[in-house]
Amino acid sequence: MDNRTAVSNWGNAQSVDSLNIAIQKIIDFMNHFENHTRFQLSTVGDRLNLLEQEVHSLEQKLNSLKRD
Amino acid sequence: MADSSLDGSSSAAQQNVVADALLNVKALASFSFSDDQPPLEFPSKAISAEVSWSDGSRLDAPAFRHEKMQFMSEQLQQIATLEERTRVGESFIHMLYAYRGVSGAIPQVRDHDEANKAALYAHTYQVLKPLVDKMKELMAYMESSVNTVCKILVVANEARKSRGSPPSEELLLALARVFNMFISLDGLKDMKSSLNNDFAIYKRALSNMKKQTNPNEDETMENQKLYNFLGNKDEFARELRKTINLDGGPGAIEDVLADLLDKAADIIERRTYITADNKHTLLKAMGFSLYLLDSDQSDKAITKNKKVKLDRLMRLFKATPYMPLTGDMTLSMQTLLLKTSLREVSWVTESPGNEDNSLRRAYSLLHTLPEARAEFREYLAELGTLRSEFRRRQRLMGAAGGAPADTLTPVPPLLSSPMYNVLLRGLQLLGRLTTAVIEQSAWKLAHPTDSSINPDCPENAHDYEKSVRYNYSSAEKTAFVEYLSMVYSLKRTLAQAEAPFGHVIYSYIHATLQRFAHGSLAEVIASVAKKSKQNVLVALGHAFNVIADSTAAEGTDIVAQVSDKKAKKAKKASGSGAGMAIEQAYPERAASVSQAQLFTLRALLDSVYNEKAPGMRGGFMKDKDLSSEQAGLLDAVFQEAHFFPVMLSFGASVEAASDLSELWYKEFYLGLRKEIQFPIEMSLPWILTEHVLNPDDAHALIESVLYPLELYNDAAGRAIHKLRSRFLFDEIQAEVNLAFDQFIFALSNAVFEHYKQRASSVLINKEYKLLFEENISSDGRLEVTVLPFESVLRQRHFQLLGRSVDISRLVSQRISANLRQAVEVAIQRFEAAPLHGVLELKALLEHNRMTHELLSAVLPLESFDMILEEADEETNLVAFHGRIVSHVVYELVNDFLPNYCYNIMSGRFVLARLSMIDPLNRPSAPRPLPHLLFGSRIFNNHFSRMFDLYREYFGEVHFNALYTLLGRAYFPVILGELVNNARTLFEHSLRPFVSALMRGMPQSSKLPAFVYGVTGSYEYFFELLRPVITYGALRTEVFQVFREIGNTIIVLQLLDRASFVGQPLATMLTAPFLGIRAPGPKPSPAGAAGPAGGAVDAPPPESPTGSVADGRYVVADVLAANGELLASSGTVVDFATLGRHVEALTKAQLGGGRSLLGSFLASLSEALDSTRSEWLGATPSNDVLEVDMSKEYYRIWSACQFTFCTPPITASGSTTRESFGEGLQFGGLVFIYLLGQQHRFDVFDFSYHLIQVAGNETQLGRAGGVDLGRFVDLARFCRLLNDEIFRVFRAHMPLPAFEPALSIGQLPLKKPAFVGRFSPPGPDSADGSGTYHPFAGVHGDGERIGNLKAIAVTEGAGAPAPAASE
Repeated sequence: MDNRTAVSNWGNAQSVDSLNIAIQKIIDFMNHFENHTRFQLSTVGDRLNLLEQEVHSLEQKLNSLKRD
Repeated sequence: MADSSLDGSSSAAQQNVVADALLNVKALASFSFSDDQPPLEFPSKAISAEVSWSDGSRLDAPAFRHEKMQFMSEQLQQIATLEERTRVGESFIHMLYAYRGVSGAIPQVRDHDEANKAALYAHTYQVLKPLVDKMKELMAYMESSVNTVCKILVVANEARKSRGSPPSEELLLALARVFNMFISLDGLKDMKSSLNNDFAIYKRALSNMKKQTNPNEDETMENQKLYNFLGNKDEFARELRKTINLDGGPGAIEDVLADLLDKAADIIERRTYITADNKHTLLKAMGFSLYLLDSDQSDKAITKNKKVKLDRLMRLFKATPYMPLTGDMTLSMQTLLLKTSLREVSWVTESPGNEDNSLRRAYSLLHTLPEARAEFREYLAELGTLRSEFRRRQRLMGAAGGAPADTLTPVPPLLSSPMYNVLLRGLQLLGRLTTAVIEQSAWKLAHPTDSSINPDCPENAHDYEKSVRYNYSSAEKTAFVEYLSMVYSLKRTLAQAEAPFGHVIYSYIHATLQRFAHGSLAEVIASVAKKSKQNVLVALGHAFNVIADSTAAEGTDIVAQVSDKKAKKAKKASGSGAGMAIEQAYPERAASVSQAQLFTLRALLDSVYNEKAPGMRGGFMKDKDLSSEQAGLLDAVFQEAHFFPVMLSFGASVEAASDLSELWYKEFYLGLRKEIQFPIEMSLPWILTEHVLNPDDAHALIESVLYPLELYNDAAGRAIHKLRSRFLFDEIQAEVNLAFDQFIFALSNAVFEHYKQRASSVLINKEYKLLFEENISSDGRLEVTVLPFESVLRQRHFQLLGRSVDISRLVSQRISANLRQAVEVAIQRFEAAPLHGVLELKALLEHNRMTHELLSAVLPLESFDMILEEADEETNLVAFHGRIVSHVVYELVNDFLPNYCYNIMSGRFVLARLSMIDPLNRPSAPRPLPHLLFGSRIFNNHFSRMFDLYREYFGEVHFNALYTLLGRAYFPVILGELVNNARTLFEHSLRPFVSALMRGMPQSSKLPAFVYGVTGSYEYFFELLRPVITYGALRTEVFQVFREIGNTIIVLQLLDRASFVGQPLATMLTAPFLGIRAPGPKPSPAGAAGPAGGAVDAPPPESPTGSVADGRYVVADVLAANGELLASSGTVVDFATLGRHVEALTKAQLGGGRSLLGSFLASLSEALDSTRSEWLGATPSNDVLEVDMSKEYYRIWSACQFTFCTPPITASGSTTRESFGEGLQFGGLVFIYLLGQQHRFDVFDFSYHLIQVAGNETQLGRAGGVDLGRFVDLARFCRLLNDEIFRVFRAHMPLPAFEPALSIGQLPLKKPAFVGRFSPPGPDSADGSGTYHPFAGVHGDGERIGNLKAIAVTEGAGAPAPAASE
């Protein structure tokens, strides 16, 4: 009576688990990446918004000059 | 999946691919992300992958079978059956919970619908058929489940008797889950009255249809059965008990159930459960087991059963009598026990509400909070320390040549053990916190409030309102929110640990099992082998074979080894290397144990060491199989392995241990009220969110404000993944849409209010604040505590129902709108008030600017100037008619100049008692919300108290405010408007009046001789001037015109004064651009000093004017000289051009600036040209001077002065000075000054003459009722004042010192230079291409700008620097 099955079972489990862990890590990475990009995009978006408003206001001022 | 047992070359290739892939994964760790968002929520997961440890199929079970231990296979079979039943049952639970009757929506068939009857019934039948089918499925499920469960119970009981040892823990727990499910199904089925209603309608429709179709015997039978099934209560429990009674009664199952009760009590007492659901399942299963064991025959009642330790159970029941059944349904243990013979125990019959206080406190989060908080903080600190310690050690190991420190290779036990244990404890803590929250909620639902307990609760509040809305005090809500924040923070921390530490869990479990197998287990086996206990040896040997790993591919034959050991006993006795051999006998792996493997191990161990096992009972003349020490070793691993399944699916366990979704659900109460939805105010998540945002209660919790919203995420997750109910999700979504809008609205308002108050606290007068706070009790403090809004405002991707919400942006949009509104309100209030409102406007604008500044640090906001420009409607570059300046001008012209009296002594204007003009119609002031002004009612009162001090007059403070508000840029507009106004007055009022008065003047007016004395002279003048003095309009309209012109002069003078204070700063700031250098004692020879002076060799100018004339823009030059530098750095802004802009814009103001008053005088002088000859009188016959001539302007003013020096006859009457103020004199004298008649006036003035005459007299009498003494006093004052006024004029617009005007043609000041000429930088001062002309293109209309905006000094005027003139 020996435990040949158990040993090979542990080996297989290790292979499967290393893939499991790797998948988890990839997912974790992607979620972090998503948050990171969302944050950065939102920051850039805010800046663009402000610039747009500023340009709009400047444009209005410029037009006030052109009218006369 | 990669499998190392694959053979052939493809296997090797595949392994390479896998290894490469894993290397890539390892490389991911080298990326670092910056997400600057404070963690205030459960981390958003765009992708989630649940790495499930087991799908419950136990496919590998046959591999671990042992022919001598069939019981394990049987139990596995039973467990699988029970689990399958539970799965199906749960889907029924979800179906029932989300079931809402459709009967209400089906139109009733009435008698007059005869024609449509058949069709209506058919449709009703069609609609209801699928629902009734589901009910039938449920009934069928009950029948089959009850039989299956009963059979398993009986079989297991027999097996237990024959083997003598209790069934495995897994089987007992599977039974507990089934019992729990039966209770839930019973509760739900009985609660849903809509099931009965729907079925009743279905039956009616069916019976009506039967008239047309053939009745089906089977179906009728089945319907009858369903009718009973739906109508009877506790059908599952009663059926099961009935079936058991048929199969031999409680006696046939009592051993297994006694084991179950013991096991459950063990777990609860040891607290080895994780989730709230685990705990409640066990408790309910215990109650249910008692019910099954009970019998109606009194001798077989549960109370008489020796195998049941009732005391122990009752103690546990009493500790947790309330728990959720499903969703918002609560189950009390008493109701469960009332069905058994325990109903005779007094505690069971107690009604809720009579519990002792300690139980109430145990359920109350408020009372358990301090302990939980301490535990929570301690845990986080420990986890944090351990994490960094872990990384440090891992690095050290990597450096020492061990396994490289990455996150895939196995971790040695030294590292994995503390990490594993701390994660496990975190999971347990999370479960405890969640359990506390859920149990309190169950308690609250079981103990509704009423109006006698909570005065806020209305009499007619319905059940759900009593249970939830009014059932929490403010402190309880605060504690609730804090608990939520702990649950979600811990959930976040643990969930984030899964990816980096998942392999630690695997490593630890593998290492623990191997250490056990090759250590304790091997030793126990050796000892057992010695005693030749064959049964135990087989069991333990098999246990070893099931779990032991080995470095040798063929494994280890433990039994052979043991016998080997026997042979080498002598050798080994002395050898200390045994331990070493064990260490090396197995490899380190990060690998998980399979479900069947674990089951087999635990079942084997349990059967060997369990105290109930036959071998462990001992007895007379009989050894126990194992010593207590050995049993302890096995027990330790057995207990530890209890958590392996939980830890192996760590992510899912974290989710399960923090599931608070129940808090949102209210199907039970909706069913009771027969309503579809309750208003949002009754929804617990919203109640808590609102509570946090309520400034009176819990603002300090603001960082937790997002956690209550997380409940919606949980609830939605349940609706989708468990209940699978579209409409529930839609309802959650609808509620979230509403709640989130309200949340953003409330949050923005709270933020705005808070920052407004902070600005108030900064801006309020410090001395006032100190004095106030010293004298007033503490609650009136003006200091504002800074609240941690910042971290909420920095949330840029808050995850709500799968949507990513940018809270930062949403709030900043609202705040921006609020700021606009506040500025708008400030301007509106200004427009509705007299000119002194300028102080409030200035304060409000400063206040808003400060608020904006404070907010800008945390939110992306557009610039305040832009907001102000927009509100002021001042976006036109050339028009200069913003609302503020327009209103200033409007008020000046229409209210201030005509109605105010100036006093030169105090330098203040006050409102005249009598108004000469119609009152002004102003718009009514808006009544805004307090936070739009100074943040709060309290601050508004304080500020308004300060403004009250300045409301009664208009003086220096106000002029300074006007200056700061408008700045010099607007002076030209004001000046222009005032000039226009003055010219109009002059042309249309003054000139006609003066002409009329001139006609009234006598031809000649010699001054009388001294001998006439004061009385004689007075009467002489009075008679001489009678036509003028009695001129009706003189004291009203004429004086009014003079006053308005005079007031204009004073206003401009005071504005000048205000601006001279502010001017030096502007000069300092613009100087570097203009090349102005302070005339220092030692100008540095190389020009090395100064930030911009490096390359400049402009000579130090003597005066600002001179320097501007140089036309050198210093900064611009420096920058232009280094053009390549600018170009190379990629600067977008062209500094050189910028420099020229600055120069062009400021040059005129600085160097060429002339005082407002000076410009006004010059302009008035020009207006005077048209009438100058008339007012100067005819050319004197002697070409020098007509001494007696009285047709010149100064004579008329003398007559006026004579009039207003005459004191009022009655004592109560007011003098002219009191009614018109000193503006009158300014107005009159300005023309004398401009006409160059000052000296003549001084010599020939009537009043002055009287003063001189009075100098020789001691006693002055009365003449014509006039007190001559007072007359002379008034005249003396007038003379002093006149001299002062002339000095002012001279300072602002000097005339040659000698008396001019020999003739009109020779007037040196015929054309006073006042028209500003503004030359743009010419070709001599800059290269023509870049010339900037600020008003290019507007010159057609640009008179005003040419005149006013850029007033330049022309040659010959030689104006001293304005400041010097004062």
